[in-house]
Amino acid sequence: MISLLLLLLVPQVVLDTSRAVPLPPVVVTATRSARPLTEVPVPTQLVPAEAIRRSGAARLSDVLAEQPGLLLFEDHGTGLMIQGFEPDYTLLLLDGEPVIGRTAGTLDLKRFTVQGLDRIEIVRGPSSSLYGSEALAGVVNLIRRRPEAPLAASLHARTETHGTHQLGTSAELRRGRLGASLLLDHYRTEGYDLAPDVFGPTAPSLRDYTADAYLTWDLPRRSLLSLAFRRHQQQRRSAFALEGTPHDESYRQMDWSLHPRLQQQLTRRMRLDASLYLTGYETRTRMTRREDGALYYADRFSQAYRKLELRLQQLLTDRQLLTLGGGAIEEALEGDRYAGRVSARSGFLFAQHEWTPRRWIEVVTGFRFDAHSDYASRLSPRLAVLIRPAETYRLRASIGSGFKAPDFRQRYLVFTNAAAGYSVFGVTRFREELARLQAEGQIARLLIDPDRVTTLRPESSVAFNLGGEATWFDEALTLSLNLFHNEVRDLIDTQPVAQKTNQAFVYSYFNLARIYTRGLEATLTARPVSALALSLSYQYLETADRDVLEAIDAGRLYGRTASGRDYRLRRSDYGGLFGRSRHSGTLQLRWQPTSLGLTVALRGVWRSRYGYRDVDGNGVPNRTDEYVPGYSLWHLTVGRRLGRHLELQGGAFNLFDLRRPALMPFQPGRRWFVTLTVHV
Amino acid sequence: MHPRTFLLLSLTLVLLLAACDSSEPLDETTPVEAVRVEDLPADPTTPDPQTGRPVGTGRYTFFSLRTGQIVLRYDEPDRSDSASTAWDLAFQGTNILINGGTSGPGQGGAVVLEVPFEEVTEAPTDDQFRVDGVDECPNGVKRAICPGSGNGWYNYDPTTHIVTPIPGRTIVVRTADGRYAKVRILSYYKGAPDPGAIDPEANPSRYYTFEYVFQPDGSRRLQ
Repeated sequence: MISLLLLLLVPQVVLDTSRAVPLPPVVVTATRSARPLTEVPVPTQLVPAEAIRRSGAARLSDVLAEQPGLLLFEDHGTGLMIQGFEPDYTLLLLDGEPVIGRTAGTLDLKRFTVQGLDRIEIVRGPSSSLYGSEALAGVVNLIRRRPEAPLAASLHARTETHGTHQLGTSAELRRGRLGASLLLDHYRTEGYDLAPDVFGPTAPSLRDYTADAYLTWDLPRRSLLSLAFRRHQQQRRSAFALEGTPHDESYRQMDWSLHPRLQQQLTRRMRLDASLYLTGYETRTRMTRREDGALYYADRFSQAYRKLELRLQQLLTDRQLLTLGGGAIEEALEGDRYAGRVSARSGFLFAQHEWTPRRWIEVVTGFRFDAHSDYASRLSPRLAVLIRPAETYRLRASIGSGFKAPDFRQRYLVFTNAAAGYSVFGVTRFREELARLQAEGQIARLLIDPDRVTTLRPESSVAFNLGGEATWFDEALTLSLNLFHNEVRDLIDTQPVAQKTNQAFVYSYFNLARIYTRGLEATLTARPVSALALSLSYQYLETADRDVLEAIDAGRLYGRTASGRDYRLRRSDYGGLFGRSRHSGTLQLRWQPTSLGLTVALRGVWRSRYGYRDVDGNGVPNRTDEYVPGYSLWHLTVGRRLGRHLELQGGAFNLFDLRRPALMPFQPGRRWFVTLTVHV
Repeated sequence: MHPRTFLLLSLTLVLLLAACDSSEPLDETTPVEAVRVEDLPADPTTPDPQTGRPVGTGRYTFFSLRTGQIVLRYDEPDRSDSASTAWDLAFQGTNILINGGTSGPGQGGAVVLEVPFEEVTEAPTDDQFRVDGVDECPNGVKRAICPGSGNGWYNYDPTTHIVTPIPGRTIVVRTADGRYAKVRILSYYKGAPDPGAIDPEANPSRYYTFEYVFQPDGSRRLQ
């Protein structure tokens, strides 16, 4: 209902009631205003609840892995790679608010149940002009299902290979102006062991619990008050051997969020959106020696994030919509690696102007200004244009800037590796910690002037996206294309600053590297008959470190063959950034024969080889043994309704049981599953 | 012997030598052959009995490029030879010293070229040579062969903790007595395993395998 109301606010949407064509789905992430999916000026994808359900996936990682143009990236968890960027550069939102709790930059997608979602919106290319930090590669917005049914409940039970079980229940209720929904989800797995000769499992056993509540209250004058709450908890158990001695590891993670929000219609043409978002995240790690329980390592970390945001949307004359917003963020963290508690404040302002000067063209301009206590301020503009030369064609062009703020480690870390003796200090702590080491006589020499450790600039990009889509045969065939180029500078990396008397180094963080990612995304969707839908996608991706290219062009970069011969690298020998496949694609086939009452969903994900390590010491992938060979994964899900209340689903992920224990420890092989859902 | 006879004999000898020179010129006959040194111990670590942390002695192993021999091992308690001109390179962990400047009494120096070993045919001019304690590295240390990942002969991978010689880098060394050699580091691990298959048990670190060409005639030719 609310999205329809917003549609009225948005001038460029023409509601054509003369044709009995269903309205295209509405998305809200790309411009923070409700727009039909086909009318957004930047590349946007939508994964509706129906597609999530059809895939049979239990966790967000499995759903996103099979979407066109998205790849997973494994690094301290399962993260998402959009347009060739590591997971740190994609912002993950829950109902428009940022989810916190990253480990080494990765927000583990396995943490999220897909139950209770209405849809997932994915925006590619930078959206820092609306969302600020982290929205550099793209934005993924998980949108909760709004309670609409007078009374409904469902029970969901699922079992999978490796002792994986999921049990969930959801209920929703609507009485007059009040709506409420509640979701409880339990997920557990026993983990797996791909290398039985090595002590300890490859993946830990885990227990995961999610509780989510959503209350809505329709107010007069098309206004809405809502309150969302989520709590999630996960425990993992694992074991490993340290120089032949068995050790146990336990890991606990908890996060919660509370999100009251008021959407108030102020006048016929003005709307206010006030949002308070409180969220927390904490982890505890313990490693103990098995024989006597002696503590080997313990770590605690907790993070809090509070945000208040006000947003005003004003419908102007001549089909213009103006959005003005601003807010304040307070962050705090405490942890063993951060030597106590630190906190930071930031403020932001943003403005966006959406304008339809002619029926065939829309122009969206916007900017956001972020000021932070710990790093340099940042202005992020964006200009996007949508052109409709005809009803069945859309052209999109945008230029924008994205940024990623220095993360906590880069700002606050105080860490000394007990085994190797080196230290890493975040820039705000560097002076004080270096002085402490100097006073203790631990510093042998300074390697660079410590004054060079100074305020970091956010990592920032300039990006171009150019594409569009065309439909034929009354939307039975759709082709969409997008060319992208992201030029990124000031990437942050460590560099030694001093050497200790134990010869180990003291590191801090600096703005160093420059990279680019560029390529093409193409998706072809066909619906030859109503029971059959086919979607094919392809992504071509080029990535490179600018400094590496300079070294290659200057003839300074070499490779070493297995036989020990050194050879000068050419550009064509350079495999780009690690973990990036040059070619990748997806296939989605959906078959719903009405006579059988079945839903069959076959999905394939393919990617070409990608660099994963450096063997010959030049720091870049160039030798065959530095790549993971390309592969494809196939998933099949078959579902059937059994009467009014029951639904049965079964299938397999990784149908052909691809396993590469050494190269892909995160891939457990074929996973069979069966799900039974009871609707009341 | 009659002085004339002596003169004649001497002349014959000189002519003979000159004849030899033209057929097999002395300044081109020399080194060409590369010498390979395997598993030179550069202060390998042992676990500290109390903390279990790997520790070394901090002492260097001294090597002579002229004789192809170790002059003084890191585990030799008598360190008297370290202050001599008997050695040309000293190895400890990833550090390599030359016999000159603050490191030794010799005329030693070095320069790390971004040119593959085979393509280095001549030592650079003396103004390009660097000396310990004199010439500053990108990270501020004054060393001929700069320490630190990417600065000198090796790259360090912080995720795998593996030290790999940088391909295409050649260390040209001026020996303690002012002659020239070129050195290529092949491995930092015992047994010089393939860098993609280093087994920490079988291939402990701080063991150098390298090849070098030494020019004994004092010329700059290194081919």
